[in-house]
Amino acid sequence: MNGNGSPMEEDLNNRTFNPIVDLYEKKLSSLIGVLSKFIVRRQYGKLIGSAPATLDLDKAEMLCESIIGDASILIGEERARMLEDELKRITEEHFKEAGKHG
Amino acid sequence: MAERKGTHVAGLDELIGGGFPEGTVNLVTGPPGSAKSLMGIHYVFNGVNVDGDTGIYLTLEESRDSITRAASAYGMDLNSLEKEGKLYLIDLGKMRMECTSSEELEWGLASFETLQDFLRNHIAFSGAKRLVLDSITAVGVYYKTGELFRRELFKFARFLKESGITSLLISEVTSDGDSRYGTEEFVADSLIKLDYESASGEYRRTLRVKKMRFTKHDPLKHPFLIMESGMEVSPDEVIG
Repeated sequence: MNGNGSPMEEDLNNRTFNPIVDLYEKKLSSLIGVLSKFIVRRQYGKLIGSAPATLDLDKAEMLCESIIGDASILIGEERARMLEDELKRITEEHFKEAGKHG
Repeated sequence: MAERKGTHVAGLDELIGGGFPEGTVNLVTGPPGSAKSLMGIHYVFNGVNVDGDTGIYLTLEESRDSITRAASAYGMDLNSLEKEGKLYLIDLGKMRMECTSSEELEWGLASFETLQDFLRNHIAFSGAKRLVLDSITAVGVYYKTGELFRRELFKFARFLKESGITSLLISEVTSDGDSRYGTEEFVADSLIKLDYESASGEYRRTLRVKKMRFTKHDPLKHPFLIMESGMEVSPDEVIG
């Protein structure tokens, strides 16, 4: 934190991220470049606050929705809908894989 | 001879050889309320409707609602074009509003570097041929010195030219009538100055094409009106 306690004001560049967050960032990056980092990390920070960096399926879905909300401003609603489908697929695959291993 | 991207603003293309040469970076300046944004709206809206060019209108300060309302007042429905995927109205200002100043600066949200990176990706998937950036004055806050701003603007303009998109950058002017950072006009291929003046109790809007590379243009000052369908320049009438 940098003083006022808001998770949004944390040093987002230096946080440790959940693997699924990295996946979201990569997927978005091909559409909007470095702004993907800003959107994903900012929404992630808002969602988890200062809690340990873990995401269950529910939280991952909430994160997806927030990311899509921000992304639709930049890439238009139609493409945002396509992105939403891709993020949902990534999320399902991630948790299916996580389930297999543990 | 490069293809021209007509503004299709009544009377303007006559002054600039039919439009902006394809792949050029063009600058429109003027004081607040001089119709700079309206000219930008015409440029992207008419680009889609008349020439079938996909367009991007990237606003850094004015809200999306403000732009769509202004357009709609002159019969230009931007929302419909967006739904058809022919126009992207991008409100980066909304994202900036949600950040603290320090966060915005840390991320360089609307710096030339970020815009370049964003546009490179966007142009690739949208196939956009026209861009309006409203305004580059807002980008200046990221640079501590005029020299740094100039260098980054130069790189940004070069990127735009290499990408093939024909851009219209909007810039505010100081009370002296100069561009805010004093360098924008050197980097751009063309400069259109919008203004208003009062003469004999009459209030007139004026337009002057001060510079246009690759084009035999009319450098005189012409009056323009804002009518029901937007801007109308009088190419046959000259002021002073």
